[in-house]
Amino acid sequence: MSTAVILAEATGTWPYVAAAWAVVFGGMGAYALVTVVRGRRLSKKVAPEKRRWS
Amino acid sequence: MTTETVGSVQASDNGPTSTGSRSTMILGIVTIVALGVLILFGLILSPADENQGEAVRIMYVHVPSATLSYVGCFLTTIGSVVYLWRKSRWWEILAYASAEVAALFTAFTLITGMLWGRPTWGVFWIWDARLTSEAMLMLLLLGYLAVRGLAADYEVRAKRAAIVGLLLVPNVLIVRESVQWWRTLHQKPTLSLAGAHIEGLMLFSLFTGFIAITLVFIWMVIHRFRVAWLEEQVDLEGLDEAIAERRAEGALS
Repeated sequence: MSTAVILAEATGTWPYVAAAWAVVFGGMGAYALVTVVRGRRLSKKVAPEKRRWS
Repeated sequence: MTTETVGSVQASDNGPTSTGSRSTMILGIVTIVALGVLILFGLILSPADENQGEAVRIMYVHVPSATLSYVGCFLTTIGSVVYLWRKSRWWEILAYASAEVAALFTAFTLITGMLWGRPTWGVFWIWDARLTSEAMLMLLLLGYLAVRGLAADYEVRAKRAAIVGLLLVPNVLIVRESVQWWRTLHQKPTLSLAGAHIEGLMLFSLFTGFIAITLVFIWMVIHRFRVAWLEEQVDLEGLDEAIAERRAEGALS
């Protein structure tokens, strides 16, 4: 029996669960970070009166 | 008050220098708390399923991601219709922001679905009706974003993207009904108007997932809308500058 199979039987389906949650939470975090950084960079180029949420 | 010149625009430090506002900051804090509750119930407190074991925990992020991707597609189609009808830039930017966030959630749906499929079906992917139609939806969203990002006048790319955007809702309906219309490996809907096929802490965890991921979706669409709005303002400033330069050149010659 290979190490991978032994590991899979020992851990069950948790690796798939962990990977799925990591993809969603990691993806959301990365996208949020990129969006905020882009927003900060662009905000410096636009006058405050044109930022209607200001 | 101090000011600094950035390009041709006088940017001042008396306003927020980001896409954030007081309301989005409160929304962000509530969202982080909701995500914490989701982790608590989804990964710790909810029980394993009799048939699927621990793999059922993938449902708490997979199903809300899929639902929110559909909501994003609906917003994009509505925004596209209003843009084509009234030429409203606000609705067009909303459609664009929603499409990008919908693409992100569709990617989550596909990846978490594959990770759920491997322990329950034995395969990561199979070309059945639900999975194939979901992949088509992803391609359509990427197509929308590619057309919207074309190097062309705003009106040209906005109009072409809006036409692609009209196709999203019909595709969502096909994805949604695919498990009813065709025989597929994918299970029937977990939640429907007829009721839920789960109960107790599992149902509560799924409900928590819907709330938390809906809050994330709203936060993302608001911020992405504002980023797109700023991009348009920067483009317009660049256009005004170019026109002014041309006029100055014309006056000199």
